[in-house]
Amino acid sequence: MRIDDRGVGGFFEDLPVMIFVLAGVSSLITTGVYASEEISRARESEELSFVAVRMVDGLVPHCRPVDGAMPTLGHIRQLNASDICGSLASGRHFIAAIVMRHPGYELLCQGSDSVRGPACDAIAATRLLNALDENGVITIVEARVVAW
Amino acid sequence: MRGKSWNARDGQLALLDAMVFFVIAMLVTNVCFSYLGQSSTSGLDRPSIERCDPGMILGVFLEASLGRSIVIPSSPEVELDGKDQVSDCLLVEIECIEGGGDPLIFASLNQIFLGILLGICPPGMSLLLVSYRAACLTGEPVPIISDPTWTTDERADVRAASATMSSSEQHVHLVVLKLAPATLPELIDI
Repeated sequence: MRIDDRGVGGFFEDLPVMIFVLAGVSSLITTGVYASEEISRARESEELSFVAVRMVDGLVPHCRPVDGAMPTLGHIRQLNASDICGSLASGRHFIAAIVMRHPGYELLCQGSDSVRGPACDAIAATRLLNALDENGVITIVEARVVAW
Repeated sequence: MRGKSWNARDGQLALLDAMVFFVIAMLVTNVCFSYLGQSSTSGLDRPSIERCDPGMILGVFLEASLGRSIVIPSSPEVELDGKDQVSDCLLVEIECIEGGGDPLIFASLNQIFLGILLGICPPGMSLLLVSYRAACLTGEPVPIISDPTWTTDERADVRAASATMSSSEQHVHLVVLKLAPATLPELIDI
């Protein structure tokens, strides 16, 4: 029998050391993977937000008549939101709607890219504008685009 | 005996190193997760205050029509038509209050204003609309609308926008709209 005078205690003595090291390494790896996924998701959200803002900013000028006068509800009702937003969607799915918010609530116009499916990480962008109704009342209208 | 004591001491050192490494790894993990937890609110869950534009809200609010007729019980009575613009009605109210009129006679008009503003603000926001005489901005503001969820405390997350309005007497008024997310206790109180 030989005396172990170099501090080598064998497998069972090293087991707690190994457990602590493995737990530490695995927690670091898990954090790294989660962080990279979060960063890529944030980048994706930023890109989606940019697309949604671009679509709603593209939709609002179409609400105004060519002479630059105040938009009318009749003109907004005739808009084709699907075509207008579709040209700016950059391959993203979207739903666009123009809704009167004051003095009443009315859906004036809506459109989408005709794709049905789950919206995982959707971003909304809105713009408010005034529009004249048939009786000369200045209403408040909201243009909203949800992109995913 | 000598071999045994060396064995125990070295083994404890290795275990201590491993534990220190584990604790540091846990600390790094905690810091990363807390940072990511704060910055991961994205998409439709993002707080409304980041997505709302008080300038746009105030602009469309002032330009809109009142929506329904109302009679102000002042002396003489003032009848406001549904087609009258909010900015004109607001100007009537500010001039009357600054001239010593009773603010309570405008309660029903302010309810209409509040309804319009809450309808176009993002959900979960509280708001305050005040007016200043542009000639003396340091003076006391005239409160026009105060959402019941608005707190008077100084808040860091308030966003504001202003617009100027001129009366027929050439008085220039500065209307300021302040928006802030309503906190949970305020909403529960309502």
